[in-house]
Amino acid sequence: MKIKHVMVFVKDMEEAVGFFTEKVGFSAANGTAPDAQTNQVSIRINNTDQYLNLIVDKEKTGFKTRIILNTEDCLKDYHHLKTQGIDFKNQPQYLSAGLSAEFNDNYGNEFVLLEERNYDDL
Amino acid sequence: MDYVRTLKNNNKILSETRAHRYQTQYTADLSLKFALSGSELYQIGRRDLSIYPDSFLILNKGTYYTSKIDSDVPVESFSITFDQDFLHDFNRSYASNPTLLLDEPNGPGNFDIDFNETIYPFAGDMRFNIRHLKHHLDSGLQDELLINEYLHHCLLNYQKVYNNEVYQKAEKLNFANQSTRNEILKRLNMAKDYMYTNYNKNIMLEELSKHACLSVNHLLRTFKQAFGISPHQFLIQLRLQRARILLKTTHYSINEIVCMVGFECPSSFIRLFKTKYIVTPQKYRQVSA
Repeated sequence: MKIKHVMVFVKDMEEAVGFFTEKVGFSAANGTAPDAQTNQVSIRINNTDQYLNLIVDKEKTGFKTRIILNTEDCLKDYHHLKTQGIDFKNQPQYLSAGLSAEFNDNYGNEFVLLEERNYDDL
Repeated sequence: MDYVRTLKNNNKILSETRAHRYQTQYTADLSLKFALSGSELYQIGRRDLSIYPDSFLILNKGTYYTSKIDSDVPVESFSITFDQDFLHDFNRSYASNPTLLLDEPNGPGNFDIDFNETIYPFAGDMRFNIRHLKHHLDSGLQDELLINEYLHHCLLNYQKVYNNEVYQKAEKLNFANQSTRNEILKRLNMAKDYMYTNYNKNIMLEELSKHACLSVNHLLRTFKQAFGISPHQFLIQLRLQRARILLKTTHYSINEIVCMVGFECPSSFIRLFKTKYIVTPQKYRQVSA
């Protein structure tokens, strides 16, 4: 078993799709219009088989999500996303697991870039 | 891969792969020197300092040095020279960052010249960041903002190494006077440098104490205080670590590696290796291949 879809509640679908596709650089798996049945837009995380399912939450009853994205090179992605106009909460931080940097979307969901580092490796 | 990149802010990165090279020059600015494979010998005055893939050297601005590579296989040499203004900016941003100040209150600040020109361990985050930077430069990265981001982090990483290797070690010395602690640590670092450089030779304690300008007893006592292990234990750990690099990156037989890193007999090497890394050298080589 593995995770395939993660729900992300947003306020404005069009704006959210723009944020994830244009700024973060993910792609809309089945177009940018909400699915007729589920009212969701699937955002594919790079070329993986994993998706963020955006769903509009006007009543603000949905929960906030914290998603940790693995990266090969945190500094490179941090720099790239910053030039795309994404505001990071702070500079990349060194943790015991590796290097990480955090940003939010406009709806309070948190995203963490994490480059895992095996410090025992030569 | 060979290149010299001089950035608009005058930071300079040099990458060279050579089996033989001999050059004498002055450092234009504060420089970090790495040997990503093989080893390179630096001579500063009468001091010999050899760097290997597990160590790096930091040279002050204006240091007159000779560097030598003389090897059967090409050595990957990598060096970064930081422009003075870049260093000043870094110090300013460091001084105005409360989190960093809390984490590492005693970074080098103005890059304490006393503790430069010493060999430091090249490990942890610095190793990852340099590896990424080199990988990008090798594939032709042009974005100077990103290159400078790596260089900035390289200084942050150095700050951490400095804090661990200098400040925290000096604090462990049982001397009331700060300047005495610094002076002793400086001499202990000279002993360490000597072992880093001559790790595969038979090092006598008298010889080591002479290089550190400390008496044998004084050296033994203060070394243990600062680093928690004796010089002999330090040397054994260093040999094991370098054997591990050779096992991973070369095809030399285990018996050859035993001689290359200065152990006298394979069985004690295998025993010590297994105690430290849980696996035998043979197994380690198979797993890391």
